[in-house]
Amino acid sequence: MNEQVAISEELPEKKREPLAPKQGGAQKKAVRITKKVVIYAALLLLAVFFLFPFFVMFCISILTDAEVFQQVLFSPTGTIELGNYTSIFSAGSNYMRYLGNTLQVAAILTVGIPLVSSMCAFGFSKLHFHGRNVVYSIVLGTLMIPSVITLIPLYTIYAKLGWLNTLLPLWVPSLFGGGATNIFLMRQFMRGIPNDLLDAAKIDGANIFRIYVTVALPLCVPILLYVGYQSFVGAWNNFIGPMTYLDSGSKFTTLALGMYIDFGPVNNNAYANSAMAAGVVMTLPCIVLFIFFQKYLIEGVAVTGLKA
Amino acid sequence: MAKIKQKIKWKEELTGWAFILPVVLGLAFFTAIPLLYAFISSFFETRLKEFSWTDWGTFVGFKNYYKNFTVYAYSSTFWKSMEVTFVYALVSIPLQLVLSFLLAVFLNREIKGIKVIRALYYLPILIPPVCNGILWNQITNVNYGVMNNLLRAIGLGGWQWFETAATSLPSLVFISFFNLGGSMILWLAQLKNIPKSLYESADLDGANKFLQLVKITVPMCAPMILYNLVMSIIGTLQTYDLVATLVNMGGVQDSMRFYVLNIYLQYKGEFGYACALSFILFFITAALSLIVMRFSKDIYYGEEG
Repeated sequence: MNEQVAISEELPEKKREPLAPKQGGAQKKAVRITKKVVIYAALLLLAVFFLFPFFVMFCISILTDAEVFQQVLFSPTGTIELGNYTSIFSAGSNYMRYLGNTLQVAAILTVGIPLVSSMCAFGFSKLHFHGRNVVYSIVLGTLMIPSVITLIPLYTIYAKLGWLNTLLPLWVPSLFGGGATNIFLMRQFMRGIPNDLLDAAKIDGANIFRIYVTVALPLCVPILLYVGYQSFVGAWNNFIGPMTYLDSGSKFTTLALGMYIDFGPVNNNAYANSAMAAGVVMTLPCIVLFIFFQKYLIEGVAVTGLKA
Repeated sequence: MAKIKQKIKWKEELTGWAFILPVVLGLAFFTAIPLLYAFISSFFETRLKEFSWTDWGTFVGFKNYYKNFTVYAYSSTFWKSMEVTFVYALVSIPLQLVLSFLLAVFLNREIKGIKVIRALYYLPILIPPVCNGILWNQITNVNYGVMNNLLRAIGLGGWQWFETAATSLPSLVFISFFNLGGSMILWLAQLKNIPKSLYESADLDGANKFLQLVKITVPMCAPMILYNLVMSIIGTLQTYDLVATLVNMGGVQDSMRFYVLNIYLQYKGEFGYACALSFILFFITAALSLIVMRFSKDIYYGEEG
């Protein structure tokens, strides 16, 4: 009997029924339920693990200053301190200034990168001209270059151009092509567009730029959204860029850099509760966008094989 | 007739180049020039200064490269950063690959609510690295952080986290486990591509679940293993954001002085040397990628080849 159950357990759901003997039905059901309970318990335990950082961040963000030093997650007196949040959102706070700078960069890149990279990808996938494949190979080759190699010499160039302590280094370079990864993704996607569609538009007399805007772009909406989302998150999280090109105390300090200056290991006077409140506010948009775009993102990951 | 054809060809060429013009200019100004500038500078001794084609500093030949072996002040930090980076890579990458794979196999089942659960496991990836670093920096503080108090509650206390050199890297490996969801999603996508018929015929042959995992699932995921491996190595070599926000200046006794952090701590005073260090990083990255890709030739790549 035991062996019978063991074997039927290995089979896919639909094949189980005919093999199971009628009289063992109750026992089999019990085994199946136990198995299900064990699986759900394990899943739940893992979920607790993965949600731990969020839980801790949120709990500490509503503690009072005194309670932070008691090394607790919950206030012993049951108070909920929202002052950490209100001070973030008060007019003229540093945080609002950081947020404004980051939003400027993020807005430009979220719109700009998908457009520019799709334009280049259209050239690489649908147009025929000499040197196309050579340039594309070079573009892909740049994926091998660690970003730190160009980060530091670019500092000297930006110094020459007078771009240091402005937001320009954070968005201008990205609008020149939008990055090799994005061009690659866009090109892969555009290769799926049938040439017949473009030829039909050509016969109707549309010029090539018009075909790109009215035929190709509307078909690329899923990948445009994916690249737009990644561009937003990239701009939002970018730390080494502002860290290199902005001085501490610059009025163009972005959110990631501001978090580091105000609450990072360089600042010994930072309170954990205000640090966590700032962290919650910075993390929240990423989560909301993820939930909103989840369908496209999971598809994008599956298609492209790239994680966020 | 021929002349008209010629004209059309010209137009085609021009429109093509017009479309890719942004990336061509970008490659020239923001990749090629800085790359060339850094390469030339790596043979000079110079401080960080404004870009100039004429003033390079003092020419020192390959000194910026070989002083990693000969001058103690440089070799100590260089080899420390190599040690930290590679010890972390060798421990954490295999561990993360295996754990995220097991996680994906475990989640690759059709039960109620599984989509929500997958999304939940993925969520920690969305915490910006800077916030993540600050979070762990705050809660693992031995004197007033909450983490050791929580551990004490379940009978594990007194972990020194980032306060001692010996516990720093293991602590970082632990923190990285919260990001397993990223690789997990990749594995899941790959697992979905394995034809069901393989498992069905294995069932008929009486192979148990473990045997199926080893003989079907793992070989079918081989391309993904390789991809994950290369990307993880390259990612680890460039670790910066998390470490910079987690500990100050490379941690206790430089125990967290990752390679890029080492470059970053020196580029203002020793620009030429920092350029040399980044080219060494480039060669290491390229070599590793090539080795892994070469080894992969024996690996089964699925039906389409």
